[in-house]
Amino acid sequence: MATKSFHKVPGLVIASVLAACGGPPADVVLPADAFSAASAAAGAAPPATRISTESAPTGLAPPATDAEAGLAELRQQVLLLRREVADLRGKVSRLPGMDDAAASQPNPRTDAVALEQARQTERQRIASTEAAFRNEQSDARWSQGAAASVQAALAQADESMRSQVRSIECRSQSCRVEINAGPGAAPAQDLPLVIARLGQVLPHVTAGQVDQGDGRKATVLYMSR
Amino acid sequence: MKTFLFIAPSFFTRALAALALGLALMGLHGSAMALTTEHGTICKPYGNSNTAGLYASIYGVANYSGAGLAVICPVVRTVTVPAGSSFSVWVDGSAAASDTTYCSLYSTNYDGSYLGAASFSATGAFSRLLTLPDTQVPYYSSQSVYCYVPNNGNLYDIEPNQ
Repeated sequence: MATKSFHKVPGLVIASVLAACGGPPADVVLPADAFSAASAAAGAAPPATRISTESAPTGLAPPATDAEAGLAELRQQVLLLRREVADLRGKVSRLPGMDDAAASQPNPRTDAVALEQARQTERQRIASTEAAFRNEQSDARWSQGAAASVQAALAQADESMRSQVRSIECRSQSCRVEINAGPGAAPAQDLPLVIARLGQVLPHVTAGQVDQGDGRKATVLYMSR
Repeated sequence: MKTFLFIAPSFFTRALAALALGLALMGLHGSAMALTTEHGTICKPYGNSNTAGLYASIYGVANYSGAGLAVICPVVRTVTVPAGSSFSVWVDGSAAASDTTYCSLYSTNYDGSYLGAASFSATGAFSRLLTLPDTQVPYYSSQSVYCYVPNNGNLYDIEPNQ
């Protein structure tokens, strides 16, 4: 794709290059994404939308003005920089020792100790998510709106799934939705549609399984804004 | 704006020179790429795979079914996600300015259990990043992207950020 964004260049590399050059001249205005990358290196979250700084090739005559020529040169240089960074990333990922952690990861399918460890990790993950939900303040206004959104999204799902919804509880940041395992093999086939439709209101979902009392597992969704 | 255009190229030239020098010193010069962009044609209809209306082309997949259509795309993850870090996937596509595309990045464990998801909805053309925390991407888990594509909408590619 011709329109890749500049901010996917790791901020650390940008920061390093800036440092190597003694920092940008005071009168230089970098594209906004360059600063995003630099701030990402400092620990800031990456932006959730990438904005293209390039135009798709059109096959038209070269830029007629100095300004356009300068911009085209700049784009070319940014592309070169991106390629070098991608190259570096690949090299670093293949350096000896980088895969050691992965190679030594015990397989819970074949290793009983690893299986128990994985189960314990999962229990802790759900317990911690549940605790965080219970510790949230109550916000009547937000929770009412969020619960209504969840119900509206569920209304789009098949009746076989709607009938399995055991509870919906919203607080100030998130909603907890518990869905029983239905009689079918794939009780939550419609779940992605529900979750996708809530992307604007509750974009983050942590899911877990709890015993529903009949030997089957209910799915618990912690959906947060 | 004029100042930017005349000074920035020389600044970036210096920057590139510094980077090249760094590469030379580190002995890491090469041309291998670590991108794992997956073309949109890797996606298939969600549910019944034989659902008609999903067209594949060099532009990925397009929904010409006459109604909204959900697709599911496998994500090729080549990395482990360190504790405290996250795993992200770019999703690129487009639809009419008045139509909404819904997408989610899913993670399920090796035993089929559902671990979590991250979602967005977008109108018109979009290029969005979906991110899952490390706790939802354990070593033996697998990830997928689900999108509900409106009629005449396109899904160009999905690109794991790794």
